[in-house]
Amino acid sequence: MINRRTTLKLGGAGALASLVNLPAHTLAATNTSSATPFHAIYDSVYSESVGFANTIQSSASSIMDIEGDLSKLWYGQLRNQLITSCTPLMGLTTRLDLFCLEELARDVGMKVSLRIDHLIDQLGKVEHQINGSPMINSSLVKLGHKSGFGSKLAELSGLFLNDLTADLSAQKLTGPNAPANKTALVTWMIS
Amino acid sequence: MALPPNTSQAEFNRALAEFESVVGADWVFSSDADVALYRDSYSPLWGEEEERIASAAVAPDSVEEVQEIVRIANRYKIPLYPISTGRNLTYGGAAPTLTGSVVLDLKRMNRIIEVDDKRNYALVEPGVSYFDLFKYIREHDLQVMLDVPDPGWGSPMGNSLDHGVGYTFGPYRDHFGSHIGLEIVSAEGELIRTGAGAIPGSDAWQDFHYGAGPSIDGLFAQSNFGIVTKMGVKLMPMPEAFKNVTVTVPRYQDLQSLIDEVNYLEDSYLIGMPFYNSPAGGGLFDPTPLGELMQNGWPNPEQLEAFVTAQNKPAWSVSFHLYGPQEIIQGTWTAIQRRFSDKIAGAAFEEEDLHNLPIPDDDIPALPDKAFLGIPNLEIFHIVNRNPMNDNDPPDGHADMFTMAPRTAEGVHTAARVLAEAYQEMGFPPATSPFSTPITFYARAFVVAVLIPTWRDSAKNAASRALYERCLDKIAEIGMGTYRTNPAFQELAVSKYSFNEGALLKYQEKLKDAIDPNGIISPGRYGIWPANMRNNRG
Repeated sequence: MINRRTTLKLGGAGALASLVNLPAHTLAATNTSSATPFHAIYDSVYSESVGFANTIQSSASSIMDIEGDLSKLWYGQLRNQLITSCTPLMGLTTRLDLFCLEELARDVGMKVSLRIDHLIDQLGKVEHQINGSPMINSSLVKLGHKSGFGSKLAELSGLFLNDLTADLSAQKLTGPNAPANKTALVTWMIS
Repeated sequence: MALPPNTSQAEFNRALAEFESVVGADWVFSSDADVALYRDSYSPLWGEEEERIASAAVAPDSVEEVQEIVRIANRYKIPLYPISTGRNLTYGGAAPTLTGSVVLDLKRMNRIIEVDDKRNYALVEPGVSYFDLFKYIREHDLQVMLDVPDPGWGSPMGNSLDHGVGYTFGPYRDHFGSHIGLEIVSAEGELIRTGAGAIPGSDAWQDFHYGAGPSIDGLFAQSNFGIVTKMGVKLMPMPEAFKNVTVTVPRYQDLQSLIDEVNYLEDSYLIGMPFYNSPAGGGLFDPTPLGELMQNGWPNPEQLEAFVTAQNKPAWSVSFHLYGPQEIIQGTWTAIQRRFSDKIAGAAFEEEDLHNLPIPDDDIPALPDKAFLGIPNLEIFHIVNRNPMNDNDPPDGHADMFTMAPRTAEGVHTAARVLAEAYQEMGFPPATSPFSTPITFYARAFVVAVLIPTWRDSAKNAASRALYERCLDKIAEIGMGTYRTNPAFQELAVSKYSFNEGALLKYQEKLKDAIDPNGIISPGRYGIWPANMRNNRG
């Protein structure tokens, strides 16, 4: 099974990022035209996450790369920004990083309002599970069951931002682990 | 929404309004979504009626606000559950022991009041995390080293008060043992300082922790006797260098001699935390080749020696860091090799490169074991939560079962055998074996650890709880107990400390009645219930 550790061993954060012309560090977004400002978070270890970042950078206030170390991002940058202004966060990361981020976000009173789990089996087939915003369920049909869903989800960010109401069904939904023999990525909104 | 016990919705609303008048409406949390943030993510009772759920949370910013909140709680007889960062997963996280308690979230009290790298201490508030303190020390170029737990997102105060542990020298990795001076808001709202801090104008609060007369500091760890609002942390002066070394011994029967020698070095303050392992038996999370050996029950010593010989690997190893000036490290390492060679035939030695401290910022990301060098991180989630032992059915969390054992080979083997029996009795594959090794979080005792899975699935949780409780029962039968556990198991865990018909708990409850007559602070924490809840244990 390809997991985060394996991926890191195979080439590290920089390799995937360079494939899609994104530097493996925080980027200033080129366009902040979204009606609701938000920060986008991705992990350059994962190609779907990089695809998400590539597409969303035109609408996010800023884009931040976890680079495999959430604590560096949270304690070095993100927490201080959120204490000043609880700008919503939207990300596509591992389940583990969302688990940790959800615990950390309590510091600033923010909580998960949307959660779409993407379980990827060893053959690359993707299963999507949505929690927290039933109104966008129909949009998931467009995602299909193959790779490339990261950029498609980024295109839906405006839809997600329409409803930032906290939803209990999305909070603390799972532990940090992926199911057996699967990679677990999650698209989420924390507001 | 849960309500505090014996409190109407109207009374609770009035209490919340009074809390708001103290801290402001932005810092009182009572919506379902806000309160859900305080659920225990690893709860072994997740989603069940018995899951411990808060009624609300209130986040003060100052000692004075804490005092006011305590006074309000006394008037309404509403239980408060103080947390610092509330991220001590496997031990309850931010969730209260008693459903309906108001979480007193001290996250806003996050001031680093002082760090002194000449007298080697820090004075901090509850909401300061290890990450915060590490960053402060680096930014101010202070020459002290933290001792951090895994993960490092908790607070030095909260971790110490929960009897948390780290990874460096013995006196520092026992975090409560290395605290020095407390400030406490009593259950009646009075402000107390311990040690030299009780002397007005003292400059020695973080130098002298006893004061005169009985020391009461221990009453505020794993307890419900007061709310700690400041704590001194003794810090290790930044060592000049460190070196990781390993000793291996060939035979199964060598473990006691190995332990004897490590105990000597540990108690002489010559080494950092020892890490025992069994190359022949496999590491803590490694798949082991023990299946065949264990088919007919616990093997006898001859079978174990034969197994080790067949593996063609050393039976046991121990690694530890040597800290200090280069000359001292080299001299200590030379002495260690001599002592082990004298005592154990076939002892072999490995050493890694010497590294100067502090580690440059640019080199930290590549460090494999950051916690050993006092660098907080979250990497433990990658190690513990996903390993070959649970790869087939990864759990949502874990409830750690730490058996405190004497520092002997017999103690380790007995604990491992009894835990394996408990697992088998409850239908689980054993998590311990004749090659289980001790963990030395506490320099003065061994820990034999098993991580019992927790789930979002109530049926699986029921099985895990039954296993956990069976483990507690079984280790008590051989005179052993645990030192820290999830609130779901605290009552049972402390019941095993039952000498003289439970005299210890009776004494603690007498104290509780005198100190906290309305029973407002963390009722039920570690089995200590106030008088008004004692008959039905909450």
